[in-house]
Amino acid sequence: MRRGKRKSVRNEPYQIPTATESCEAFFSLEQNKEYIISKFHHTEDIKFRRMTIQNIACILAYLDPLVDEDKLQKTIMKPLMEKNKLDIEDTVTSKEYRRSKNLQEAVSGLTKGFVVLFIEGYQHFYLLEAFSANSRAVSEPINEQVVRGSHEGFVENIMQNLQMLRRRIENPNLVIRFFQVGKTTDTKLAIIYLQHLVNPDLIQEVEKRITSIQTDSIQTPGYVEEFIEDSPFSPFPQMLSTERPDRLTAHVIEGRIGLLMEGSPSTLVMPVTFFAFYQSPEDYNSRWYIGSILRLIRVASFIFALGLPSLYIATVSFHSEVLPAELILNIKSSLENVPFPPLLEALIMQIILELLREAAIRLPGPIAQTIGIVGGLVIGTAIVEANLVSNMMIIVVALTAISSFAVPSYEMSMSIRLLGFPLMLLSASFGFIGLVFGLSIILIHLCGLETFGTPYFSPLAPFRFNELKDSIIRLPRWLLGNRPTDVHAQYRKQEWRSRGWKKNEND
Amino acid sequence: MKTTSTINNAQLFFIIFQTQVGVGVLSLPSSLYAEAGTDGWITLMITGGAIQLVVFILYFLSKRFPSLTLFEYAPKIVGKYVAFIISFLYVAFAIATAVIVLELFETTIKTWILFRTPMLVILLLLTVSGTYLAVGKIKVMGRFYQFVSVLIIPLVLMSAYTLKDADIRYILPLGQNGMGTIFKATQKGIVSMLGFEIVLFVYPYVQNKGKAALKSLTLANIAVTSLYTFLTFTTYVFFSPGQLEIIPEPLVYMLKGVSFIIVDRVDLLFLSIWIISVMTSYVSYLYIAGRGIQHLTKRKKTTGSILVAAILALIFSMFSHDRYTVEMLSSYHAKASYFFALGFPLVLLLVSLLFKKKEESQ
Repeated sequence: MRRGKRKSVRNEPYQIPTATESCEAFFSLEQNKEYIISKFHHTEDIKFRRMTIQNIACILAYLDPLVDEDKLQKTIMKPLMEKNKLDIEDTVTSKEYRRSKNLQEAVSGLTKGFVVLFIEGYQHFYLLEAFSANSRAVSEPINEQVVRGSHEGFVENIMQNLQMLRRRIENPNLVIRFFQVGKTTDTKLAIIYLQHLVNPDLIQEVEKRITSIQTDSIQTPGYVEEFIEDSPFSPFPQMLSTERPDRLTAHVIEGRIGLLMEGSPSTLVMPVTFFAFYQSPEDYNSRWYIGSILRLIRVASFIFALGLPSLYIATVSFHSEVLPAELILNIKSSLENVPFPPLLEALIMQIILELLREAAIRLPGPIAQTIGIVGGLVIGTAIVEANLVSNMMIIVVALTAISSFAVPSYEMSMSIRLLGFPLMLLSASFGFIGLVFGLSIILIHLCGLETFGTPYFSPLAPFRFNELKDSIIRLPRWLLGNRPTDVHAQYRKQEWRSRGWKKNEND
Repeated sequence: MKTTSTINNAQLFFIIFQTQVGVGVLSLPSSLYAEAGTDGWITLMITGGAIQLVVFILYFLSKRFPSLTLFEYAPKIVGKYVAFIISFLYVAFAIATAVIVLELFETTIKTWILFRTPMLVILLLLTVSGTYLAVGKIKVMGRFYQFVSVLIIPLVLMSAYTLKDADIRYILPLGQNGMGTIFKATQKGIVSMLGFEIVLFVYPYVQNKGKAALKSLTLANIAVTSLYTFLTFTTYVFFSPGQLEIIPEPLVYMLKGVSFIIVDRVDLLFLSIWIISVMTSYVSYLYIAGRGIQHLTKRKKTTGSILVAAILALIFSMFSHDRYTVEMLSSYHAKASYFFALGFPLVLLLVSLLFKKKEESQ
């Protein structure tokens, strides 16, 4: 109910809040102050600054942590003191201001970084903007590094993030819609899209799903993702999470919608296909065949990460006759002294690997390296010498891990490694047959998965040959005339005759 | 969010193709050999031509009712009660086909790969994954069939590789058993090429109906005929007539002798791919049965009906299991299939032409 009435507010950033319950302000300063103090339960970071203008007592009230010292001095206190006039509108140079007599508005304004000016004998008070926009410096996101390309990353401040995007797409069609979600936290969410491009049904659907969120708090974009995604029980991530403005921009220009959240540098892109997780903005920075090879390597990494351990298990425990004699002798001799079945070996190694990974994330850099050496080298060597795990299995698991980390998206690499476990079980019980059925089930799932009306496994299923050139491989930009169809953009053309000129004018 | 549930013409092609290519492909060369000798591959081409005629009949029938499945338009042609019997028979036929696919799958897996795994477990593998695909509705089936069709290429390449050891003299002279035998053997061919009747149930979901759909159907028939002819031909030039007489599954035996650099047993890879083709045929019949049960019980959702069909097929397939019972069942099933692939549709078409029954266009 509360949120229903807020809809009108959400279009403008930093708009002065309108409260739904109203409480008439008092004429007396002290009474107003009392009310504010009691509303904030005697919190100690609320500050009151007394001043006199034209011999009338005034009070400036603000929440200290939220207010920018500089703005408060320069745009509010200094003009008031110097001009000494009660004509607030012309005196104060604050970016936004508003007059009200509803004390409830003062309270919600204070929580959003406004300064409230009460004047003795007047029922009206003023809300003056002095929001502190401090955020950390822009830096490259460490989980999505590129060799060539932009090194800009999103920060925790939503306005600064939007600024980065606006700078990249200087177009009046770029629309930003704000939402306030979370009964307690009242978190600010923003969706960003190109009005003339994106499918109107998609906007409507995204807005509908966001406004139907009924929760106490939204703390990370992961919450939003779980509230609005189509198939919450699918192992595959259905929204692309990125901290790179260039990546988000590229998707917005393809006709997708970006979602940003105050307090989080990760943003979400919807709807995405499976292959969006295998693309990196730097693909477009290198020669197109290098970009294509890189993409093919990543697709191969998907297949390795998913199926390599299971294929190995199926081969050594069921179908060793598939391999030629020389190879099988090598493998079998390394397996000879190992007391465990291949499945158990694989599980031991996979679990050790996941432990190492989890431990290395939490530790500071230098110690994480130590963990890598202890875990990778010492345990790896020792476990083979102790005949607990075979050499071959170490190679297979290491290859699997490397393949899974080649995926440019962290969630996807986790999902794939997780899917490897049931496949290992199946191939340990039924050999190739089990593996084939396991892979089929994953493929069926991928074929059936749809996010926001977009087939997830496009352009492979449904098969669209023309779109393979910007998903599995990457052809030169001037050959990519059309946008992908999966988002149902309003128009598909994205490239006209860029190379319409003649190479040699003399011919 | 609203999404479409239609399939495009390429998907129609692959649905027909994958439904037709199935469990029969392994034993086809030897069963044709038994009838027509080394001219079996010629028989297959003639069969393809015959099937094209049936495809026309199915197409003209579907075209008269472009937005309905057979279950839905049968009552309009022959009345409620007869239609109920026909629909019921179709459901029984689809389940019976699914049962035969399951049984042949099980015996083949048991012979070639998993010798000691309990029967039920193997059947369950196919049932569970097949049901999961079938409940995803026709759209997902179309996408999946199209995607896995890429696996036909390695299948063909593997067989083509054996041609290096081929001896063309095995099949010479052509037509040594006389045209009569060749024609008579077509009935064996038709059985393994069954599956095109699924068009009666998926036609309403096709995006571009009419000529484009007929093109997909024809292409599918050509593709299946060429694939089968090619596979049969390779086995006939690989094995001598004497060998063919005693080998039940020549394709697999043929590949067993082949080895590539790091793969010694190509037949295992072949069978792994073959499983997918079996699964697609099984799913198609499960889908037909499920839709039929849904229509007969007047349910809104297909999921429950498909589950019922899958469980029924599983229960029936758990009975008799030696090779001979399966072969006996298949021969009964083969005779019945003439009615379902040709007989009933032809009667329905004639009646609807005679009484000018047609779906009213809005």
